[in-house]
Amino acid sequence: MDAPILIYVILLLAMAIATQDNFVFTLLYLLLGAFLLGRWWSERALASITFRRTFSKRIFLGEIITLEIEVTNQGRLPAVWVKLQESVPVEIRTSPTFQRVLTLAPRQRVCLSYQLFGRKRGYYNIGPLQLSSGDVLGLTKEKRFEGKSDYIIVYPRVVPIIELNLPSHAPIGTLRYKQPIFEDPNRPTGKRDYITGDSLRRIDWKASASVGRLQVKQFEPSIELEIAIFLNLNNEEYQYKTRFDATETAITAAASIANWAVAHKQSVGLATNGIDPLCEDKITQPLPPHKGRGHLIRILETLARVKTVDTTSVNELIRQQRVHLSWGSTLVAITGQADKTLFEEFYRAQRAGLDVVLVLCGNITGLAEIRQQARQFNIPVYPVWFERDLEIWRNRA
Amino acid sequence: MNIKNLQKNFLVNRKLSFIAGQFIICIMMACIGITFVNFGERMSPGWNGSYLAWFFLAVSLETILSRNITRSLTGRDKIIFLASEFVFIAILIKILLYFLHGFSQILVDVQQWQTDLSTFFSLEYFLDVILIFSTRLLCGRLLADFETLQSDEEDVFNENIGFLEKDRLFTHQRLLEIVLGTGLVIVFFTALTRTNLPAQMGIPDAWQAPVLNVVIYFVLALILLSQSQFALLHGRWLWQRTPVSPALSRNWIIYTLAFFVLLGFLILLLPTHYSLQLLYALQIIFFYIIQIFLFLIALIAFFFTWFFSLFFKGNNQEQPQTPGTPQFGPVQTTPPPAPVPWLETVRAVVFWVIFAAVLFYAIKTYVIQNKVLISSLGRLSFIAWFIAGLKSIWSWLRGVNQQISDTLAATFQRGRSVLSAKTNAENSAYSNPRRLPPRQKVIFYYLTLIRRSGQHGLPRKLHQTPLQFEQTLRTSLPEVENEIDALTDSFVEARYSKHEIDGEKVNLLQEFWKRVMITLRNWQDRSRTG
Repeated sequence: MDAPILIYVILLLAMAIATQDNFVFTLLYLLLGAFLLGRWWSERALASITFRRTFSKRIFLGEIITLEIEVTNQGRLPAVWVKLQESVPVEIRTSPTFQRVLTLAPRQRVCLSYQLFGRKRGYYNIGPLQLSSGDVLGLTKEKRFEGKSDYIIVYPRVVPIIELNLPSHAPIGTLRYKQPIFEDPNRPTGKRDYITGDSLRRIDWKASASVGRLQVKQFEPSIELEIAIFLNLNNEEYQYKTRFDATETAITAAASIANWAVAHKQSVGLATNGIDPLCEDKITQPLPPHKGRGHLIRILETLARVKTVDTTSVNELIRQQRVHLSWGSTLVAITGQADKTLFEEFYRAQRAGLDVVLVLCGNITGLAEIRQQARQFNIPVYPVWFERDLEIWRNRA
Repeated sequence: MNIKNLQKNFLVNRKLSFIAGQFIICIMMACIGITFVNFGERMSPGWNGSYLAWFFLAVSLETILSRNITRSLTGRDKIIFLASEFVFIAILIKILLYFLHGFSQILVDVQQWQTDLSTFFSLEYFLDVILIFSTRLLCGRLLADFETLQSDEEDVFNENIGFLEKDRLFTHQRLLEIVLGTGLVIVFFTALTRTNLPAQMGIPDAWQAPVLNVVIYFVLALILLSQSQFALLHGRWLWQRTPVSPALSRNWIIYTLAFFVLLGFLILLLPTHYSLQLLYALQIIFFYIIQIFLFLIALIAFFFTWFFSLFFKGNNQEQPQTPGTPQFGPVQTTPPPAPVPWLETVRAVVFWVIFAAVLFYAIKTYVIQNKVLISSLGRLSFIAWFIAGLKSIWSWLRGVNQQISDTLAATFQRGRSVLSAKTNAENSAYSNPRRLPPRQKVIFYYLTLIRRSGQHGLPRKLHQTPLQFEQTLRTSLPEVENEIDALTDSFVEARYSKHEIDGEKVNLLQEFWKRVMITLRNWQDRSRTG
């Protein structure tokens, strides 16, 4: 009980004892009753209020959605006043903090709404919704109740890539390829006259009989692309001044490559040394290469959540994960800096049968030297200063 | 919802609520007056004091009417006004008394005043004046507090919203304390009127005062608290720019009425008749507690008396009595000496002390040596409940004790802060511009203008004079250039002149200030959108 009221009650009780008068006792009941009834009422009313949020839990960057909150008083007592205050991260907020004061009759349902804007990729908590209420006399302290939180994922930006010429050694896939070494017997393109050296198995006997001379089948070369994206989110490996933009560009590049791969029915995986706030030890779990939209969504969600951190170099990550990749896979390393040890790791990967592509994000110092080193190892290098530089993969079409 | 709608929404019921609150305070004052009249009539059966209750009501109304004047007064002017008001009321009381007792008494009294001025203050007059003045002060305090709780639309623009909020919370708490404290006082006097104490004092006519006025006072007090709580919350929501459901004002009244109906129903159900038995039992306990307390005081007093008697022993020596003439007669057989009562008491006390000590020692030793048994006993459900109950009662008592001590400490602290408030008057006044004198108001508006314009992208450079800064503002905000001129000129006048600043002009300035604030905000929005 609040001390000031307690003091008045004690004094009234003392008077009731001293005077033995009924009316003092009635007044005591009045005061005590006003306090207890007010307290009970506000507590009951607050406890019987429920709420439910309705909104799309996954949105893309730049998308605006409406979040609806349905507040219901399920009790038989009216809630004289209830203040609702929703905590919304500033990155997705469209207006100042959402707050309302309502009065709810018994069994009344009220629908409220506000808008969210996917301003920055990330994993955000919506709420908790704080409800506060009190009695009509102000004799008791305000009661507060904290409702459950929800979450929303804002996917990173995905730049639509039309053509991405990534090297691969994995034959017979779904992607056309220039070199005839990876001819796919499932993709016949036509026939030609037999020349010495052609395999007898490629002779089309029916066509030869029809034409009257030996004809051999021609096949389109194709490759299977299995991409493993290694995203470096170690703060120290990006320049201090452009760190924020460079890491975001790196994430956008990773998302765009993954999206392109899945759109072309290729396998794609992701490994990063950034932290994932949802994982227990904050270490992001690598996603091995797989196909399908579901897998792309998992990759995008991981990319939405992941954060930069001061951690070990990407070299260590490649060393740990490359053993799990199948022969002929393409290793796409997205980083802010490439030093000698990284190229040594690339070399080991090449020796293990992997193709390596280096995507450099942000303001890179010594780009010419890096290019020269990459040329020695026959590694294609794509410098991406800004997101618009991802257009290089569009222009190749 | 924008600010205009918020304000519009808010102002709908504010005025009505404020008038209702004032009316409630007046009725409460009349109830207080009736209590004192009843008490006076009970203590002095021949006295008819019904006029006093009406006078209480009249003084309360006068306080409301004069509130508009006292609000704008400060310092010396306010003291002079209050003093003159008190003198006027005192004269009115005197005239009223002569009206009741007959005006012929004036001539007799005038002659007496020439010889002895103290006869001007007869006992009845003196008590009437004290009571009326106390009521005037109480009513003024309640009105001022209730008014402080009412929010103003200009508070939205106030720089020190945090201070205002704290101030209003404190005011609400004070209002609660004053209303309930006064309620206790009138309950005390009414209860005194209804006891047989006056009869024991030899006052005839065993008449019991009615209690309706006390019940009305408490009901009205709760309604007033409900009003003030509503005002407090509404003000807070307005400052926080929280959209409020339009139905809240209507529902607040409906649910408050429902609350009182439910409360009344509960009170009717609760057994006051049977509670008398409980009261009787409590009275006995109360009596024993008082006895113990008196015994302790007597013991301390005895030691002190004995100690001081050592210093004054010589003075208290009795004079030796001269031996009288021996009476001779037959030798009477005396009965065996009866045991001295105090010796028996000492023996009993010693016995019980030793007995209790032995018992305590035995139990303690047993408990220490049988911890396993005690812990297994403690696992029994009913014993565990009993122990848990004891613990919860103990913790509750500790909590209550803590709360009471905190409250007392807070009350002392508040008292100290009230004392020191006068020294910090300027600082506290700045938190609420409505309390400022006209000159300070003008300066406040201008300084706020500078601060706000800085926040909105039009900062005043350090080298700029008010007139130079005015040019800057006029260039950016041409639609309110007249208002900016007026604010700047008034600031220069208020800052560098010594003559009085007109209050009406300040009210006009306030309107200008609001317009400039709104224009500034719009200007910033325009410049953001490009």
